[in-house]
Amino acid sequence: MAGLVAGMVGAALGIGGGVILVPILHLGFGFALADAVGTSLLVIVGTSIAGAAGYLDRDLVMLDVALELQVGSMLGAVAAALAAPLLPERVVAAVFAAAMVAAALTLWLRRGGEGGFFLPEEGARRWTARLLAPAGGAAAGLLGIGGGLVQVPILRLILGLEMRRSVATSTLMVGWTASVAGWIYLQRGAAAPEALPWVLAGILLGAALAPGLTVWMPRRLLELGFSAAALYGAYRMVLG
Amino acid sequence: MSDPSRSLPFLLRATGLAALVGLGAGAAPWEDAALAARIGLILLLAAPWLVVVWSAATDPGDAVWRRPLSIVLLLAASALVLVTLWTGRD
Repeated sequence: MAGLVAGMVGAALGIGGGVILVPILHLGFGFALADAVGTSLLVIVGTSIAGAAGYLDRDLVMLDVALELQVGSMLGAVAAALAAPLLPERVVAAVFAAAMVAAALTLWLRRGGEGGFFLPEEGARRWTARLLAPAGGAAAGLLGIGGGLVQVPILRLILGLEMRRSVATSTLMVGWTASVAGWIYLQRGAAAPEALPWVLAGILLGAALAPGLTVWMPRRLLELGFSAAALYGAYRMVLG
Repeated sequence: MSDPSRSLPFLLRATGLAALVGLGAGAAPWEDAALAARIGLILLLAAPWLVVVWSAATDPGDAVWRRPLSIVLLLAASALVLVTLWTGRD
């Protein structure tokens, strides 16, 4: 059920499943936050495989860009995944709450159109992207969320890739990053692989049903519903 | 001759599906459930890296593979898969 909701809402709104799945597993199903993050990372690997295959079919993935940023992203993910158990759960929960609020805000900011912050010089853009890439990995390693919040803006706004190419390239990168961070959580015993087939099947089914959801529910209502749920989830994350 | 890059999405989907089957079999109550779950996890964690390996194998002269960082990444990925194979949890 958690996977179904995360897959359906995530695909309908174009946001990563992790930002929905982690709070559902933690607040709704009583998973420890670290277990929810670890499980979410393994699920993200599965959704990345499914998504990347489709984008590769359509030649939308920029492999050279993905590889260039991936080393930094992986280092960020490994550092965050190793540091996560050293941080109090309340701190991780507070950072996650901030990410949920950011995800809700991003939905509304996107309505403003396709504007972007483009550095004029190619070299400056590439170095800025390389320096920011570890932040995307760290978000995955600490919070179990995909690249939508960090990697897509880096690819779109800093490197100036088309939106669909940014999403496609980020989808592949997220699979690499989540596989490394997920492996660290798995080795630590902070993941629930036995829940994986059901959550993954739910996410894939939810993503397939998402177009139907957007037909009978206006997008604006979905955005409002998600924003309200994200703010409530952020409140519960911080105050328990 | 078919374009090798066309085979990659199929390979990725097939590996993902095999991982899901393995994980599903691992969640079922039977004697080899732990082995099935381990195989499923290894396939799941290795699948995204197929893209890197496939690209390096089918187009080694590509500009991507003239960068040292790409080689570092491939080695890191290989190490991850090997360590997972070696120490995989039940």
